[in-house]
This record gives sequence, structure tokens and C-alpha cells, in this order.
Amino acid sequence: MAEEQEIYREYNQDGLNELFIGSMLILNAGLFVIPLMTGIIVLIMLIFGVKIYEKLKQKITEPRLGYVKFQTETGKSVFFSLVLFFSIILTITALALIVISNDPGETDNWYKMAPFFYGLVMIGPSSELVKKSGLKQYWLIAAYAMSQGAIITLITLNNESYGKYDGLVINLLIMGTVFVAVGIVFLVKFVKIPVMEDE
Amino acid sequence: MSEKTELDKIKLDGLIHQPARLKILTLLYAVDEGDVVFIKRKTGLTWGNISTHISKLEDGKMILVTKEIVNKKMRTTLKMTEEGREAFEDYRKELKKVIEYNN
Repeated sequence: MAEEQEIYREYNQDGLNELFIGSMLILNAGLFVIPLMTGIIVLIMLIFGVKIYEKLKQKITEPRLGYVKFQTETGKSVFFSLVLFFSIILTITALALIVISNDPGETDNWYKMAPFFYGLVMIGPSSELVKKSGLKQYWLIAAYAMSQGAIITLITLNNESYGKYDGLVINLLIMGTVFVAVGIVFLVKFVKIPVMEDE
Repeated sequence: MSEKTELDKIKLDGLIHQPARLKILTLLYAVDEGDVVFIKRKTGLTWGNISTHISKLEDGKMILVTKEIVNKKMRTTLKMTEEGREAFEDYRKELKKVIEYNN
């Protein structure tokens, strides 16, 4: 629906989604480098992340645009769509491993396919954003994530000088940094919008 | 007694068929819920106008109005009722008939 898409686009200008996703990606990378400390932060983010995000929306977005809650899809169809989606991308990842790896039976190589897998995962959020906003530009996120994931996997896969998590950590750090940078640019632009007068 | 024409059969809900209320309902139909700041920004109506039309829509059971304190400020949230959604969908169908009548 055009009206819903227009409203969705307006509320996505604040950069908070990008900042939140970027932070989570960087923290996920941290889990492989400093597991205990990052684990605690990730746990805190998982418990309080939504609350923090809502508080930021209340402080930054709502005074400028007003409060809106969007309609959400729930139920069995969403669950089955997710199961189907992950089954397909896991199959593609497995097939890619068989084709490009010198030793598909080596478990380390499965870990090294993670960046490629993450790239495919981003098709999901991209298609959701395209559907909700009506902007085809959101496919660029999937294109970027898939290209980066494929490149990092190709570099690390048949190279024993890379550890099994190295590609994944590099991928998450780069992608997270890109998201945070985009989020900051959007946020800086967004806060220039004047605050609305109270009711 | 004259026979009813196709045009006579078209019933446009008077509560919805008013420019300001139509704008408010169009916005609320697109989302799950929204506050009056969102409505004001999107419609350009004055606070007084918004208040008047919200009361009418609430009396007509088209919307639910809730007031709560968020960040030390009053937030008035509007949500379309199921009844309101059905009435709005019916209105759209009737309006479509009006548009198609002359085509």
C-alpha cells in the first residue's frame, strides 16, 4: 500500500536501524575475538536492545515525526517462510562449498563459508525493506553483502594461513562498520529536521 | 414511485466522508497506531480541528484513543477499531463505485 510505504520510508530516515544492525554485527565479530566480554555485551543487547532502540526512537524520531507503530505480520506463514528461506540458502551454501572448496569434507571450510552464507542471509532483510518501503534501492544491501561475503570466502577458503573464523570476523567487522557509518550519516541529517510542537 | 438507480444505491458513510476525517482515517488505516503529532504533521490540520474530528471518530467507534505519559510528555495515541477498518474498507468500495459510475 502506497501510504504505508511512504510512512515507512519517512520513519526509516533516522538511521537508527542501521546503527543498531551495525552495532550488533560488530559485537558478533567481537564474540570470536574476546568471547567473554563481548558475550556479556551481546547478552545485555539481546535483553535490553529493543528497549534501548525504543527509547532512542522516543527521544530522536518521535519528537520530529510523531509516534507510529507499523502493522506486523505474524503467525505460521512467517515461520514457514523463514524455514524455507534458510533451507534454500543453506543448500546454496553447501553446493557452493562443494564446487569451490578443495576439501569440502574439512569442517574448517564450512566455517569459512560463513561470509558467503551471511551475504545470502541479507537477501531476507533486503526484500523485506523493499516490500515495506517500495524502494528497490534496498536490494543494494543484499548485493553488497553477497559480493563482500563471496569475495572474503573466496580469499580465505582454500588458504590455510586464515583461521576458520577469520573470514567471518572480517566480514562482520566491515559490514558492521559500513552500517554504523551509514547510520551516523542518516542520523546527522535526520536531527536537522525541526522538532514538532507539542499537542 | 421512481425506481432506484445505481447511483442511489451507493452509500457513502457520512462520518468518513469529510475531508479532515478522511485524511485521519487514511493515515490510521495504513499503520497499526499513531499519535496526534503524526496526524498533525501529515494532515496539516490545527490541534483544534484534530481534537474535534478525533472526538467524532471516537464517538462513532471508528477509533480508539489512549493517553499516556511518555518521556514526561502526554502522548495521545489513535488506533482504528476493527469496526472502523471494516467501515473504511466499505467506504473505499462505495467510493470506487462513484468513480466508476461515469466511466
